[in-house]
Amino acid sequence: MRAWLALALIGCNDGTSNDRGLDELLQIFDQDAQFRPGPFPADEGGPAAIELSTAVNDVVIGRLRTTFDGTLGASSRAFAIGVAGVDGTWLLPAGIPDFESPDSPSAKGTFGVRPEFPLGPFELVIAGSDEQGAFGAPATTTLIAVPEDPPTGELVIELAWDGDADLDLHVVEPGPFGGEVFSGDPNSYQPTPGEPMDPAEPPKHGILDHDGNKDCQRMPHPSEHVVWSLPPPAGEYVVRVDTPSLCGDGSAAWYVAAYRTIDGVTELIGSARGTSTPDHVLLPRGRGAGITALRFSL
Amino acid sequence: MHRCAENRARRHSGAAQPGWHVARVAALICALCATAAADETLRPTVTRRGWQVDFSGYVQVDSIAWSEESLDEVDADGEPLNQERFLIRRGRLHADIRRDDYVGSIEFDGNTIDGATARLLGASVGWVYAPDKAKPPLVVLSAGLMRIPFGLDVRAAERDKAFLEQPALARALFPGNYDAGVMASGAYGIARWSAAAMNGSPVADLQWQGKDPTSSFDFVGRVGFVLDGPRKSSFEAGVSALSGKGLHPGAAPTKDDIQWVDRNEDGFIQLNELTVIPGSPGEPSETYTRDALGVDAQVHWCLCKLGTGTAFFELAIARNLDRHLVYADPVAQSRDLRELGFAIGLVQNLGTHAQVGVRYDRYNGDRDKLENQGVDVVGADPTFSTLSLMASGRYKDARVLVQYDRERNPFGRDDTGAPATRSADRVTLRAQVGF
Repeated sequence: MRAWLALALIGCNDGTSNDRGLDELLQIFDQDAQFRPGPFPADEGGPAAIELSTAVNDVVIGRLRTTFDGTLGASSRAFAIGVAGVDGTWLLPAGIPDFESPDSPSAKGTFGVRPEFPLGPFELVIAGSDEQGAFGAPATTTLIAVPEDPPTGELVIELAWDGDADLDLHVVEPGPFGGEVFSGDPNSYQPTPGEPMDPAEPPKHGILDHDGNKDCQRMPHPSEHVVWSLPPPAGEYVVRVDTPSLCGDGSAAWYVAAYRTIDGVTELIGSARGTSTPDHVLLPRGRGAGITALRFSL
Repeated sequence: MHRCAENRARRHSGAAQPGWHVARVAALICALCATAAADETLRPTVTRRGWQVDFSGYVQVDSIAWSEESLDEVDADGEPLNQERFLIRRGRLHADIRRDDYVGSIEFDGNTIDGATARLLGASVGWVYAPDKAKPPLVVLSAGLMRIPFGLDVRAAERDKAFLEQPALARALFPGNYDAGVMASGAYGIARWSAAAMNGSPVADLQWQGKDPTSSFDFVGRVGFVLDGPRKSSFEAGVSALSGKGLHPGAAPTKDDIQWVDRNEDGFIQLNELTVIPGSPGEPSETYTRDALGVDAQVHWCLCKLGTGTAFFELAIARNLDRHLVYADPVAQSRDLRELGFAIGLVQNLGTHAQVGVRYDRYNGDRDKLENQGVDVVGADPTFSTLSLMASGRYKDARVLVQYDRERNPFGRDDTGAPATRSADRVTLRAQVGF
């Protein structure tokens, strides 16, 4: 029935693609981005793109956080961005010019590549289009797709799981300035009440790298790490796993591990496995939340 | 249709006259026109403490058989994007009560559009002054949750509408059709009139969801006329107007906040990656004026051997009134938002059990919209339009309907960077029964 209707009506379809492009290798973080199926647009004599740069050269696979900054030809109204040799591009309106090039529209945004993206070098391409929709010569920049390495530090405590669930890692640090680090307070430094904060103190304490699957926004391989870049305080550490939401999953199996690095040698000093169930979602949130997964002393 | 029945009776009484064969043809026409009246079924009616209670209701079950915008995916909020599904579009229970000149009504709606929902849709009390019971009331005073007396489609009952849903114009300006207030309406001769003071927050207002945010009322009304023409035709037209106030919501005071942007993507905080977002004092809410003017017209006819038909047109021009599609907040935009929309269509009965129709509607929720595209600030066209083709069959109070909607919207982008239609054509099937 649907196929018949589609065949009967397909001749009427002249709109833009309704494809959200969520399975495309290149992902753009912009609600206004319009996915454009097919190969990257050829040079049709439109305004030539001037340059394209990114904040870093290594693009971590599976993350969406790299910013790009391009400069377009003067008459550009929009631009397409894609990966050379890969079908499927994204259309965005050209931005207002930067201060340094007041006659040239800008092309800015944030992008990332999906977990299936091949390792190694690739070319990011942009091309501007004019008010007739004619694209010009592209500008490219060569980047390298790299796998995500676990963060390094003197002490790294990792929580990893799979699925849609939103889990939170809580670590209680020992010592006079130690506190609890979790998504609600991503640094374990606790200043003494009534005394001014020592700006040199926070880097000595554990820092949470990110909030995995925050608010049920699915990450490819959800994880959270608390990292001490400097030698961590001695004493007993308590690691807990909180379950704000299972995000539709029936349960979430998790893995907690603590790694200590001394003189360049990393050693596993403790690990634990467990499963979050709907009962855990009902427990209180915030500081002190979660079930104890691991205790160890340094 | 009742007029046709009356004429048939008159023609029948004169059947022995020389023009008898002409009367026979006319009777055939009227037999077709009067079918609906003859099909009227008895409704459950009870009397309690002197009040006559009349129950009615209907169910509309939709199947969206094909939709271009349907995806087996979820949006950023986790809401499913699949459109091809079965749903209860409307399940309505309605009760009218009457005792002498006092009337009341209450209507409940259940649907599964966004999950199973049951809600109060309408409720009103009123007083009717009708010196001649054979004619429409001269004055009706009512208060409660009622249809907004503006234009054509907003005033019409969903049960009887030929097309599936409202045109974009009505959805944007009067979302949900119902608002709470007081209304006076009536008819005198060919004149029809209604005037109301309402909250100004229709039940499907995207921001306020039927809760009135201001102490002022929206004043809305319509004046029109109905003219009977030759060969069972009639012509209706009217002018509607609205004047009222909306509210731009204020904001609570905020304190300084810090934003971290991991520019070098090392996962650690550096001082140059921290940006202070300065706090701001509270912003008081602010009212703004809104208004609208509309015209509408309908022509009804009755064709030999074919049945009745209707052509209709309505147009509205408004300022700061969109409360659903392109929500109008002139304070946030620092300018007025001007809206313009129209709908035009034709419905023709084919005999007693079939009906076909076509409707085109077009709506622009922000006629002055501008956006930056490179170094240029250009006008953007946020127009919605839909061409609807409908065919339906009915038997007594049951109806099946199929409709193809060819939709244009501003949700996509074309190669020039301008808003463009994101494919959203669809085919919908509906089954409806009522009592």
